[in-house]
Amino acid sequence: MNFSKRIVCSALALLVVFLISCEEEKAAEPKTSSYPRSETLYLSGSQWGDPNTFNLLVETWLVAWPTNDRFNLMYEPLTAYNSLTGATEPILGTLVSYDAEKVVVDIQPEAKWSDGKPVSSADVKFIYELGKRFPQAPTSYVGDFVSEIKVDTVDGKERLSFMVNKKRNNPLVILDQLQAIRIVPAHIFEKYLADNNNDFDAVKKIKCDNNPVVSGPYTLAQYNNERIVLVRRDDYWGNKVLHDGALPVPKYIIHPIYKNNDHFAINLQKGALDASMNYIPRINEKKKDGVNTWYDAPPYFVPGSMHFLYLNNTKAPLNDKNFRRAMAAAIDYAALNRLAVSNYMPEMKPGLIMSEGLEKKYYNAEEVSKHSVPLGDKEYAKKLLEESGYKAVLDDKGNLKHTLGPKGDILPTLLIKSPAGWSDWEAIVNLVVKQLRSVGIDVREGFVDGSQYWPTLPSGEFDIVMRKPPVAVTASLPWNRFNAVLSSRNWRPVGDGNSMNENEGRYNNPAASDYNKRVDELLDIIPLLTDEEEMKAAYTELNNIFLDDQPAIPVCHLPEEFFQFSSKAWTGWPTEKNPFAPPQLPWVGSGINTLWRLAPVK
Amino acid sequence: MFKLLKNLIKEPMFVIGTFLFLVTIVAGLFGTHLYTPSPDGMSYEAPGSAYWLGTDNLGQDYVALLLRGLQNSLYVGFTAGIIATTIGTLVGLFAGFKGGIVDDILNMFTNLFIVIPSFVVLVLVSASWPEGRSLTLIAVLIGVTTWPWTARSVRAQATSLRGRDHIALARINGASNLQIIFKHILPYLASYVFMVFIMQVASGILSESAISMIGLGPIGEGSTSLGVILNTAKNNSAITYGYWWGVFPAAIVITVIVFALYLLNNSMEGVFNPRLRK
Repeated sequence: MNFSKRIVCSALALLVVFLISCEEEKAAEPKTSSYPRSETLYLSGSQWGDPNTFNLLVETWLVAWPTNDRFNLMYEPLTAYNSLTGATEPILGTLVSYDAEKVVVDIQPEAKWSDGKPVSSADVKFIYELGKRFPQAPTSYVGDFVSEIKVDTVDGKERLSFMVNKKRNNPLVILDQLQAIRIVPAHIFEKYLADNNNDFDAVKKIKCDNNPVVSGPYTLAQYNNERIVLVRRDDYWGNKVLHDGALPVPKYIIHPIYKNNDHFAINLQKGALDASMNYIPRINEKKKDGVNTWYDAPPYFVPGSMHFLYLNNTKAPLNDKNFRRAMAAAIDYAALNRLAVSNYMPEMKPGLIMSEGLEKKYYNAEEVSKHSVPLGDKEYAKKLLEESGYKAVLDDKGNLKHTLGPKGDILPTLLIKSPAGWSDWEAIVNLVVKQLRSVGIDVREGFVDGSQYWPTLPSGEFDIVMRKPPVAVTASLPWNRFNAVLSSRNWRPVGDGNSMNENEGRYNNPAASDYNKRVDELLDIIPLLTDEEEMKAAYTELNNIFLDDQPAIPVCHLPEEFFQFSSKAWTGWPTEKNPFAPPQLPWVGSGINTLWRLAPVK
Repeated sequence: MFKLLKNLIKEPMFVIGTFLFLVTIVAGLFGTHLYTPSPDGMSYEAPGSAYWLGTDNLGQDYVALLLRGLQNSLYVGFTAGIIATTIGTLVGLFAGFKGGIVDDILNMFTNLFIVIPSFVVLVLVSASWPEGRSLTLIAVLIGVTTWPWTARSVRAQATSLRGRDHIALARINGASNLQIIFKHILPYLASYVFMVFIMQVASGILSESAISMIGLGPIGEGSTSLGVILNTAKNNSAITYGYWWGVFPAAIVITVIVFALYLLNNSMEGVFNPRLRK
């Protein structure tokens, strides 16, 4: 082959690669023939790969929708957390009370499994106490928080008292567990264990995909590598007890399995998908095609989670709080909102407490303004860097060459690690790099494959990393967020094999001379407080410490899930004007109530 | 020489190719100095009076990005072309002139590089450099993975020249191997090597675009290339959402450069190659 032909072939190959990468995948469109559109709800955003198993005893990240994560369509938890009102709503159980000693829940006497057997305390104890029998069980962490489950009978109902384990002494996490742990039928799984000589790993191999015994309003009908189909259980016990005898409106729920984000937007616009939870940029441009959100105007979504730059607090210059504070001041958060996340966040406020929604009651604006650096103030950042001895060295073109430390040494280029291909995070990192470099901080983008990203989080082998902890809006927020960023409970040095699942930035080393033990004290005290004023004071103190030390930098407030829906096939979705359910897809928490309020478009 | 140039100018393909290539060169060399970018706007603003070619996902002026991308792509293309042509020419010349075991070894080496898919090597090496992939690094990687075709072609030419009378005469007069290669063989192949170089530049630009489009291109301040622009468009689903200005201008610029180089190469071959000469 001569050179010219090679060039022509290369050009054609380039064109083909580009067209393939942009191609709209026809096969991903839902097949409607077997499932009448007026009876079928298409939801997507949780299942990306081929469905493997529907066994709840398998690790949650390996299980297929809707048995993964916190989905409650097939298997249900005891309660649901309403992220809009903060209420703990009943499902299999009703929250009676909670204090520093115990969390009390009554089991719904009418609750039944699909094989007709009642849901009982034995089922709850089975899944909660599985970790005592099998340390590899996915709920083995429960034992750290619940020392014992006591069972009584009150007014004909089984009453469960989840006794707070003094080791962790945290009833807030037990409240989170009530809505996160789905109850499984003990009589079925005990039989699986007995049939397999109590070999837990053998039981994990059972797929639970053939007529599974469930308690929820839907059950598995069929699945393949293109979709998972659920069918309504008309004899669901909760219809009478929780929904005044009504059935959920869609007979079928289908989760089409898409290969990339484009398909969500395309199919929502077409009306082939009814709701999704994935990030779709510039959602306002899709409104003309019937794609809607909670709010009609920016920020479109209800904020629920913070996205952070986690800083490695053990590495120079990130171990200098003035350097960290200068970074926080240098970032133009309004530009991040406008350019990286399509105006999906409200005005950025500093600190670990959201100034809107359920956390607003803990937000102390006066204290925040006293302790925070001014956000988006480059001159302040430059001044702080200069006062702390840092100096920017520019090249002939005026671009930043490197940064000099207080001792005149050249500081290493800091890399911001982020998964490659996550377009919103990539845009955030690109902008942050540009903004930090403009004040003389030598940082660069470090987009890496997921296989390189996830393992470095617990080991702390990063300079700066994009991170979103915690993922879900639960009863324990904002404590959960403070704990994720500041806790020194499991502090371990940076290094392979040294695993930390909170405070991965290694802030506040308990062995260091400048250890601030008040941080961990407050993290221990807050879950036991019941007085709102005391809680606000404790949260304010903790937030002030965070703002003073700036161990991590919140870069944006985004929703728990990007709840976007199409009204082409189904109407009656919850919105700001009709907030009967929280802004969640009808498959998790109180969002599931939407299923009883939808109406097919005639 | 003058006659050859005169013949070249008569070739319409050469005139068109030269014109197009000069336009891209001028735009690449002076565009970034002459054009003042508009301040950052909103994501993917459509082309208009404020932004002639719209904005990208970060609200940056596409004209400025294209000019910078063109400059960087040309830099990568030329650097890769020089490296690949130099290595390929040297290997081909020595293998063709020396023959025997030197030829066998160099030929084996060349064939080895030919059977290893250069793009795969490029991907693997780029991927193993997650930090600080500069334009120069990408250019060097492309250069050292694309030289074998040049080596093979030059070797064939050098082999045919080896037995010529003037080479034997030079040898009798005591010229060293290096003198013969550089004084008596290379000048004969100069036009051929130049044509190969043109195609290596085109190949370098295309390789950089391909490697950047899959996210393994240059990173760092001011390292935007035409491939990086396409990669950004792909990552942000520009085609899906109808932001054609994120894709087509960069694709057209790549096409124009490569087309211009192709025309130049073809027209030169028509003049320099005695078999094709009209």
